[in-house]
This record gives sequence, structure tokens and C-alpha cells, in this order.
Amino acid sequence: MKKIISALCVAILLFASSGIAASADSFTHKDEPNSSTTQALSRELYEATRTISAVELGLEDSLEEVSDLHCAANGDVYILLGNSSKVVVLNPDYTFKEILAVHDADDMEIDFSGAQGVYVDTNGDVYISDTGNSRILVTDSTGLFKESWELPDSPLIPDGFQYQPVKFLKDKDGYAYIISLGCYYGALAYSPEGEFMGFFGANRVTATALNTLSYLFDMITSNDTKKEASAKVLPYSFIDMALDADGYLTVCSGKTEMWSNGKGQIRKISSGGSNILLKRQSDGSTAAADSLNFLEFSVPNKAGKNRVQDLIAIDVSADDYIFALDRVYGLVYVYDNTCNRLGTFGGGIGAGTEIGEFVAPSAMALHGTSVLVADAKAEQITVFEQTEFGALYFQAQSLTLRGDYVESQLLWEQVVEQDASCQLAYRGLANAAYSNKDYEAALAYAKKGLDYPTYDLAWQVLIKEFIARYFIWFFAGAVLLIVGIAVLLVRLSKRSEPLIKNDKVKALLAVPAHPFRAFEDIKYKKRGSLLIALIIVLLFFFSKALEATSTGFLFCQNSAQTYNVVFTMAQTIGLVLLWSIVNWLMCSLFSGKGTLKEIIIVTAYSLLPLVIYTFVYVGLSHILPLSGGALMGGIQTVLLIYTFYLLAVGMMTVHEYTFPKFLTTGVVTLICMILAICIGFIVVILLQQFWNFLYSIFMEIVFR
Amino acid sequence: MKKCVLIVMCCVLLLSMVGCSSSKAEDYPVYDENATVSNVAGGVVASNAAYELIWDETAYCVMLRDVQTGYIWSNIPYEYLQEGGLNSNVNSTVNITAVKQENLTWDSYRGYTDAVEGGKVSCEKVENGVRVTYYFESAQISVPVIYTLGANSLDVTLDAQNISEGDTYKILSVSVAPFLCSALNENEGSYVMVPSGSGSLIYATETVEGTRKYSGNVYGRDLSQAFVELTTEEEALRLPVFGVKNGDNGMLCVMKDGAESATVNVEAGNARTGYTTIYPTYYIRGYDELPTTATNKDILGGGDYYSVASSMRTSVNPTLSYFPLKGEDADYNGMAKCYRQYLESTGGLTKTPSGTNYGLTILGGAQITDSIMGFPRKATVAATTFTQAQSILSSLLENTTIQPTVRLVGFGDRGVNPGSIAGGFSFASIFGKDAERAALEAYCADKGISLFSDFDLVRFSRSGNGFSATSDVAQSASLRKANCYPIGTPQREKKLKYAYKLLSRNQLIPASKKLLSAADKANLSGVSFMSLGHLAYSDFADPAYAVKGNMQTDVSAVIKSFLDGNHAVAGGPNAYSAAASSVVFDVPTDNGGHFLFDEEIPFYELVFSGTKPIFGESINLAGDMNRALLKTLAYGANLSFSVLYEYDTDLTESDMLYVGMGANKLYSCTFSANEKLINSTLEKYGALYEKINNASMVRYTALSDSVTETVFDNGVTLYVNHSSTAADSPVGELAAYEVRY
Repeated sequence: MKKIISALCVAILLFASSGIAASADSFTHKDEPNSSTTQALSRELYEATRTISAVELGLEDSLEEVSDLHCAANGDVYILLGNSSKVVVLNPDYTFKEILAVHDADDMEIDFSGAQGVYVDTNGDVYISDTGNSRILVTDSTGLFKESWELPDSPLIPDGFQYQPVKFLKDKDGYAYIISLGCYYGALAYSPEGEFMGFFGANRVTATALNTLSYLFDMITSNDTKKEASAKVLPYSFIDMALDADGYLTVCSGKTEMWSNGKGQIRKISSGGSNILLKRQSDGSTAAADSLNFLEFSVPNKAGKNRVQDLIAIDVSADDYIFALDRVYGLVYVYDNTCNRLGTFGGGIGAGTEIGEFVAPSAMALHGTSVLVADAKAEQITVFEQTEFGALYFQAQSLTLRGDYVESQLLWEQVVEQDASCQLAYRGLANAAYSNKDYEAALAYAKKGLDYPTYDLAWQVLIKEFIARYFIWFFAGAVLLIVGIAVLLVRLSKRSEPLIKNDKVKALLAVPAHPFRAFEDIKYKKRGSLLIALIIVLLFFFSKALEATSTGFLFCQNSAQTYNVVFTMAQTIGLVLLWSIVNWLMCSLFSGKGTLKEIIIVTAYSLLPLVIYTFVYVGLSHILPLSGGALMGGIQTVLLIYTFYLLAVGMMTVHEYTFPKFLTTGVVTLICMILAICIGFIVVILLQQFWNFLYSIFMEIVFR
Repeated sequence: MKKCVLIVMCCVLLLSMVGCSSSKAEDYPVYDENATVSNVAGGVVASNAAYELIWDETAYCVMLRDVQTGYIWSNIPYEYLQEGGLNSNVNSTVNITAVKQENLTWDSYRGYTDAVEGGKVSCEKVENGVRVTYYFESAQISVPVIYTLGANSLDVTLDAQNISEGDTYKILSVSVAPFLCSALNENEGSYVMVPSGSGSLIYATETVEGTRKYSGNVYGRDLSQAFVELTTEEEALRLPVFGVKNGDNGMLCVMKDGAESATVNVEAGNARTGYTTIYPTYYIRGYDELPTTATNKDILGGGDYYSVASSMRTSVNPTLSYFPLKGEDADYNGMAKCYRQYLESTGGLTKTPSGTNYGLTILGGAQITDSIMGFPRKATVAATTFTQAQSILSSLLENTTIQPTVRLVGFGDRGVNPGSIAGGFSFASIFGKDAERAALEAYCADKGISLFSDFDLVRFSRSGNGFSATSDVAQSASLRKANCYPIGTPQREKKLKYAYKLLSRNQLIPASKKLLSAADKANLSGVSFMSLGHLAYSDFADPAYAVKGNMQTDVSAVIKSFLDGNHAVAGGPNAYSAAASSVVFDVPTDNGGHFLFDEEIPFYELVFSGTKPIFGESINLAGDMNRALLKTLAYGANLSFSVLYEYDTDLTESDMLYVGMGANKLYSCTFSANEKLINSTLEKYGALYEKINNASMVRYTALSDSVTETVFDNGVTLYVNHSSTAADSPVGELAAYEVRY
């Protein structure tokens, strides 16, 4: 009777589960002009279509604590129940096939409780990472024990090495790799003959200025007690690995930082052991994936705990897309091999209740185009199937990555129809339009997709075409301009009266060319004007605000959504005033002769080249290609140095300082400026708290 | 100067002290330790031609006996009672949760162990039934429950106003008749029906995973409730019903009054009791979830957050009617029929001729962050103007004769995001001039298109039109202003920047009156209440509105006032809104996919189809459009699409905000991209909708894992193959994704 009921239940649930389909959170990252990224909803690439539970499979034990999932080449799915020492095998259609009876030649059952990994090679041999017993168990496809891989006896193995294998895999040439729990030397590599070759592709400790200083300080102040108490900074160990289409090992590290999600969580290791995963950034530059955060940029703090993400599983699809599973949020991240995030799905944050979310995700594997994720707490495996949109999206991106831009165009157009916010689609379309020589369209798509390199290429072509078409006019204009300037100069030289009569304006214009003389005139002949100085400061502010908001697309580094002119005001007007006041106060202690008015005038006049440059730059940014940016950047650097030179000359003149004294007072001024800013912040915070106090009293009264 | 400062300080202190005084102390009945208990002799206490209500004076339970069949339903399962079972769970006919005043922890008490065993149950005869009071001595709380016999039901009333409390504990919630709707795990094919979304079944089977527990809020979570974290947004129970099929018998429970304050709970496959049960828990008090601080953490149990219950109790006495079902009706199809008949008999279900139309939601715009001269500001982007909306309609009508029912959403001052209440009771000028809107109205009237303009009467973020975002705000259980936040994806953090408020409940009717006058003035043919039909919330400023109290009454009154004023109304999916409106949008076509649901059913559609046009969730917003389309067809709901004229990539910001209603995923709404889909879908399935126009769905059966059968009352039977491979059906082999009727 019980069996009949049980069979009936299985039938009911088998039948029932097929009707369920839900899409959990699906999102991606959108690049912003200021090189940051924002989260953006995206159309679903995957949809959770069913769950597989022990009841459905007719198992006596639940799917609690699934340690690993592996999809064999023949499509069978291997589920490792580490705690109960079982490997459940499913058919490719997720129906129950068998429980792999791991036994020896005498038919004695072999226990592998605590095992954390399962792998099946192309011959059907099963490799169980028997973590608790420090070995890899190798069986044939029937579960008959073949051999056991223990800790190799090699001088390459460090003393005291704890061998706790958690993952195993073999590449197409027969080389095997083992990840040992907590091992920061990299993966253990074995030759096709089963000989230990050494460690492979270790993570590196990231050296920052802070930890270098900390290291130096520790070296200086070290003693035995301190040495005992200190923790060694070690590289992070690999958590999971997979082979990509070309046979390269792709690995993920788990939680790498205490307070942030860290960087370089995913790596692709070359045969030389270095990371060959590179990110093509929106500005066309290439960055090593070691410096890329593959996860979210913020770490929310809940009830005093930082929710730092933790990758626990990785797999690579046949068409080279990387899938990584985050344990904390229950999210599956999808990247292509140039680190473009195609999408993210899943969710639940440890308390999922609906299909497609998770409570405690524990393993992930790709099964054809489907993604299987095991949830140890919900005791089930969720099957995510690629949506029609997902298939389209992957196909389009694959073509783009291969350089088949024209072929990808139609697919990208369909992608945009379903997801009008898709940046990758616009980039694909921009590439296609450029390849089709439709440069206007390429500009429009590249702008939408924030694709600077393609925009630049199309722009260069259009500019060249424009110049070629109107070259004769440009040439004639240039000749006329030169002639006109020459005539003007000749006439001016013949004039008895100067063009500019106002001494104060003359002094201003003389500053860039003859700073010593001009500042002396300002100091001793009173030829400086506070009004002109304030106008220059205002122009400085306007030029910077204009630079932030109206620079040409290729050079724009601000998002309209995040830009706030108040900060620019503080960085220009505020900075000039703060410098002038603090410098005046400080220099009065250092026998400085300059008045506040003179300091403001000198500071403002020194900014004149920078102000002119910024206006010119804003104008040129609408014409120049990206390569012109380097030239503009160079000019800006020179002008910055020249501005500093003018400021130094001016300050030395008005205070009657020598250069060393100017340097000393300058440094003191800077330190005092920092102090003044800190005090300002404290005052603002106090005022804010006082305001909150008044507000809470007001609200108490309102609500009673 | 010194005197002035002194006077100001005194005023501040005085005002602070006024603020700290206890507010509106409620007088609730006090627990009487020496209350005398009485009992009524066992036997039939009420009867009619169909049923007898029997009181068991030893087990303190009621039984409903079917006179014709002799089958007995009891709040302690009858067969269990006969066997003399002594499981304290099964023997408890009422359970409570109370808040310990000392440390605010919640303690649960079972009726059997805390009242019955000690003989602390009092029973008295009332008209057509009995009134039973359970004295929970340890908690010093007494709970009176009245069981009466209706014409064809057992009615249970929780006399919440007369629940008495001592000083140590305060009542939080009461679970009523936990085993009245239960099925034996060993009864093959038994299940409980949960109205989550479209509807779900949970089978009465014991599994290796142990007891499966589910709890869902009727009409969704209380929007005013403060929470620390919302990791998942569960599908709401849109209908105030639940049911059970136990072998050849079934039972439907309709939560008549106070459904808003209830949760529906399921315990499936409990091996210890041998039963699968579904029952309601009524919250007598609301509560807020707040984070603990270093100073109060230890006192409050050491957790990261704690719950603080309201001092105010609900003013409603929850009432339930249990309708026994038998024979062919003892399944979810019969439950739906029973509930529809109940709605019809109580006059709560209005009927509107359907027509073979489809729903079209036109999205106006959304709020974005912008900067003007470098100063950040919130602005509204127009994605569709009135003229563009008209061009969308004319373009669609060029290709098909099927007319859409149009809903304009997000044409207020902040688009689809909360701005002023009801979008400022007008349309924002960025969407076009009044004359253009009037032209759109005239165009729709000319073409026979029903046009509904949506107004948000619940959520707002700006003061205006006499409604203040400071003072006219609903209060949560802990008497704070109910601040609501959209929930971000994927870390589900609160989007503080986009906080909005809930209109205080006593302002709901005045706001609706103002809107009615604005609608009259603007000659609006129809209005839509998307938020009012989706959301339910409390306002603890007034006991009438505590624990979502009287939401049903208020919304029904608002809708009626518009219908009486000759404005058609498009409602949302909550039962009271759907029943009263002329048409219903956003009808759920899935159950939310909770882990515990074994099967999805179109219970919602079984109730409402044929009574009025019911438009499913927009096809073009679904992750898998094909699957969504086939489900909408199989569930007998009308097709629906959401469109906008032009998508601006700035709208991504708005999409990231969890709106919780059919107004997100703007990225997939561009009309030009969806026009082909709409036309081809209508061309393919227009004939089907013509055939089932005004027909009610009477039966839905899943014939296999891919084929479903839907039977309509006009004789049309629809077969749908939901899979990508051919499948057998009673009408022959169905090709992949084929629909045959």
C-alpha cells in the first residue's frame, strides 16, 4: 500500500512540477560614462522551469546537503550527497537512473562520507573527491573501485600540507587537476600518467599601499610576541574549477575580502599559470580580470553584518560563457570570455521561497543549455532553461565576439526589440553598422551602448570625409585667417596708442607671459583687481561645470544622474577661497606681506591659462577623436604645471618669500586646509544631528 | 535674552513630554481569572434540511453532519475523534500567539493543552449554534468563538472584540479551527487549495522532506508594515478563500469579514498527525519589524531584529463560512463554482458583457533623476504622449477588427512612480494638452474602445491638492509614518531615494471624491485603480483601519461611487476590487511558484471568467512569452499587452524599482517592437475568443504533464499543448504548442 501511495505521489509530483515556471530576479550591469556601473533590470535569459526533489526521484533520503553536481558527457547528471555517502545518477531527462553503488572487488561498499566533489571523465570513470578521507576515489561507471589518489609523495608538497581534495577534473589531454580545501598554492596538477607535476596557477596576494606600509611598520616594530599574534596574509584558495572550450582552466575564488566583494574572483589560467582573462572596457582599453570585480559593487550591511558575496561554483559552457554561483545572494552570474556580464539570475538571499530562488545554494552545473543549481536547505535542484530571448542573446554575442558583426545585426535587432535597455545589443549593432559603413547609425548605436571605440572609429571616418569634402573651404579659410591675423598685427604695431588701455587688464594679460613683472605690478603698483579676480574664479567654476556637462560624447566622464554642480562649486570657488583665506592666516604667522585681497587676486590670475584651456577643450571635445584626448591631456598637464608655477611666483611676490619659504608655507597651508575641511564636516554633522533632534521632536508632536 | 532662551527650552521640554504621553489608550476586556465555565449538553444544537450542527461536550468540538450522506466534518477530524487520538495539535480547535510584555517575545498556546485539558472552556447556546470561550490560563487570555449553522454552511465567528487579556501577555493572533479543513495523508488524491495568484494545490502526501509548511497573506503583505529586510516578494492570495479535498468530499472556506487581517496556513504531509491541513490565522494586532540596537538586543532575545506589536486591536470580528462539497463538486472546480455562487448570492459580483477584446496598457512615463544646470532633480520622462497613444491605437486597428480595452497608466505627475496623490488629480502636461487627451477620449468613444485612466489613490511622495505628505500619511503598528521603499534588484535593498508614503486611510474616501469630481470635469469615460486593486494596508491612527481593517469596504465603496457616477472602473486583482469593477486587469496567470506548491490551477479565472472581461498579465512582459500566452489561453483569461511609444534608456532607473504591479519592465514595452506580436497573436487566437466570449470556465483539468483541458459553459472545450513536443489528447495528437477547440 505504502509503495502504491509513494508511486502515486511521485506520479502526481512529476506531473505537477512541469506546470511550474517562474522567473526570479534577472538583471545586468550597465556601464556609466564615469567608468562606474549601475544595476539594471534585463529580460530573462533563463527561467526556472522545474525543481527536482527526492520525492520526484523516489529516493528514501532527501536531497539535503547536495555537495556537488556534475553533468557527464552523455548527459547523465551526477548528484553527490556527501554526507550520506551517495552518488545519485539521473538520466538526461532528469528521471532517476540509479544510485551509484561504490564498491570494491569483494562487493564491499566503500564509504566516502564528507566527499565534496564528483567528476566523470569521457570514459565514464567516476572521480569522487573524498575530502574526509584525503583521497580521490576512482571507480568505473558501475561504481567498481579502480584506484585511489592519495597525497603524492613529492618534494614539491610543503611540510604540514593538509590534503583535502574537494574538486577534480581532467582536460582533453588527460592532465588532471585537484583543488584541495584551503590550499593557497593553486591546483594540484597531474600528468596523464597520474604523476604529480606540481601546483598550478596560484592566486596572488594583492599588494596595496596600505598593506605595504603596514608590512614595513610591522618589520620595524616586530617582536616575538607580535609575530606569534600576527596573521599571515595569504592568497585565496580556489573553490571550484571548470575547463573552457579551448581547454583552459577557469577557476573561482570564494570570499576574498572582509568588507568588500573584492576583485579577480574569476580567473582563466594559461599553461604558464598566469591569468589570461581580460576585460575589454567600454573605452576600448583592456584591463586584466585580476582588477575586475565580477560581483556587485556594494556590500549591504544588514544588522551589523556585511553581506560579502562568495562564489562557490563555476562552470563554462561549450560556447565559452562562464557561469558562477554566489552563495550569499543565490545569484548565478553569466560572463563571456571578455568579461562582459550578460546577465544574472536567481536570488533568495538565504530565504528564498519561490522557484528560481534559493535558501542555501550548494552546487551548480551546466546541462546543455540548462543550468542546474542545488539547494541544500530547500532540498531540491532547480532547473533553469534558456529562454527564447536568452538563446537569441547568446547567439548574437557569440557572433559579435567572433567578429561576425554583420551576421549578428539581425539577432541584435531582435534582442533590442525585447530589451530596449540592452547595452551589449547596442554595441553589437554599432559594430554591425560600422562594418556596413553606415557610420551615422554606428554613432547613434554606439552612443546608446556607450561604446566609445566604435563611436571613435565611425567619428574618425565621418570627420575625414567631412574634411575631404570641404578641404578647399578649410584651406581657404585657414589662409584668410592667417592673412587676417598678420594684417591685424601689422596695423597694431603701427598704432601709437595701445589696444588695451586699462592697466589692470593689461596686468592680467601679462601674467602668463611675464609673471614676475606682472605680479610685481599687482603688488607694488596696485594693478590687481579683485573684481577681475572674482570673475576669473567664476569663469573657472563655469568652465569646470561646462566640462562636466557639455563635453563631447567621447570625452564625457559624468553621468547626468550622478553629477551635482555643488561639488564642482566646492572644488573651484570653494577651493580658491579656502586656499586664499588659509594661506593669508598662515602666512601672517610666517611674516608674509600679502593681504587677503592680493592672495585672492594672485590665485585667480594664476588660473587664467587653465580656464582658457578648459573652454577650448570643451569645444574641441566635440570634434576630436579619442586619440586627440592624449594630446589634450598632455596640454592640460603642462598647463597645470604652469599654473602651479604662476601661483608660486605670485605667492613669492606678494609675500616677499623665497622659494623654500613659499614651499614651506604652501605645505602648511595645505595641511591647514585639510584640517579646516575636517572641522567643517564635523560642524555639518553636528548641525545635521541637531536638525534630526528637532525634527524627531516635531514628529512626536505631530503623531500624538 | 536669557529669559527668552529659558522660555524656548521650557516649551520644547513641555512639548516633548506631551509627545511622550500615552496615546489613545484602548479599553479592551480584561481577563477574569475567576470566570466560571459552563457547558452545553452534547448533541444537535442546530439543524436544517441539509445539515446538523452537533456539539461534542467532552472533546469541546463542533461537527457538521450532512443529513443526506451522513458525512461529518469536524474541527477535530471525525475519524480521529472516533479513534480517541490524543495529539495536542489535532485536538486543539483554537490556537493563539501572544506577545509577552516583558521582552516582546511571541509565545504560542494550543487550545487543547492550555485550555481544554484544564477544563477551561466555556460553552453556551446561541441562536443556531454555540458560543465557546477558550481560557488560555498561562497566557491569561480568553478567546470567544461562535459556531453557527448557515443555510448550507458552518459559520465561524471569532468574537475579536471580546477577547480578554491580562497584563503579562497581549493577544497577537488567533488560528481558528486548524483541522476543520483537513485531509488524511493516506487519502489518495487529497489536496488543499491555496488561492496564491491564480491558485495552487498542495497534495496531502507524506514525503521524505517532512512536514511542508506554508503561510500566505490574504491580499498580500501589509504595505504599512515596517520591515528590516524583504528577501523575497511572495505572490499574494488574491481571493479570501481556501479549500480541501479529502477523498470524495471537499470543503471550501470563505473568509467573509476580516479576511484582510488573515494569513492562510498549510501544514502538508505531517506524519505525526497524519493530516494535511489548511486554516486561517487572524491577526488581532499588527506589528512592525525593527532592528535591535546594542542597548536593547539582549532584552529582546538577542536577535538582529524584533517585532513590536500595536497597542491597537482590530475592530472587525472575523467570520468564516465553511461550505461542504460532495460528489463531482468535491474538487477545485467545485470550490470555484461554490465561491462564485457565494459572490453572486451576496450581490458582490457585478457582471459586464465581455466582447472579444484584449487588454492594452499604455504606459505614459516614469520618474528619472536628471540635472538642470548641474543641480540634480527628479523629473518625469514622457514615453508616450496622448497623441502617440492615439497613433498606437489607430495603428492596431488598421490590422485587426478586435478592439482593445485600454488602460492609461503613468500619465500623472511622476509617471508610473508615486508622485502626488492620484497623480495630482490630472494628467501631466508633458503628455500633451488637454485637447489632445480629449481627442484621444473622443477617438476611443468613436471606435467603441473602452478607455480607462489609472490613478494611484494609495501611494504618494509629494504633497499637493490638499493632501500632505507629512500629515496625511498612514501609520504603522508602531505609530510611525508608514514609509515605503521600492526594493532593489538583486540585493533587495531599500531604495531610500525613492521612498513614498501611503495615504492615511481616513483620507481615502475624500481623495476618491475629489478624483470623482476631477473625472467628471475631464469627462473620463473610465477610471482604473491599479494600486487600490493590488494593495492592502493598515493605518493604526484609527482602530477601524488597524490590521488592514475594512480595506474591502473602503475599496468597494470607492468603486461603487465611480460606477454610480457613470464612470466604468478597471480594477485590480484583489477579490473585492475584481468583483465590484467593470473590467479586471492584471489577473494572475501563475501562482508565484512557491517551493511547496505541487500544482498550479486557474482557480481565480474559474471564479471570474464570463462575468466580466478579465485581462491576464501582459504577455510581452513575461520571461517566456510563448508559455505565458498558452497559459493565458488555457486559463480562460483575456490577452493583455503593455506598450509605450518610445523607450528612453534613462528609464532603466525606473525599471530597477520594484513596483509590484504591472508597470515595470519598461524596456520590453516599445510599441514598434511589439506591434507584430500583438497583431499575430490576435490573428491567431481572435476566433477562439469570439467563441468563448461571455462564457464561463466550468472545468480545468491538466490531462498530462503538457496538455490541459478547459471546458466552458457554452460547450466549448479547449485543449492546449504547453510543451515543445507533440502530445496526445482526447482530440488526437496535438502538435507542439498547439491550441485546439
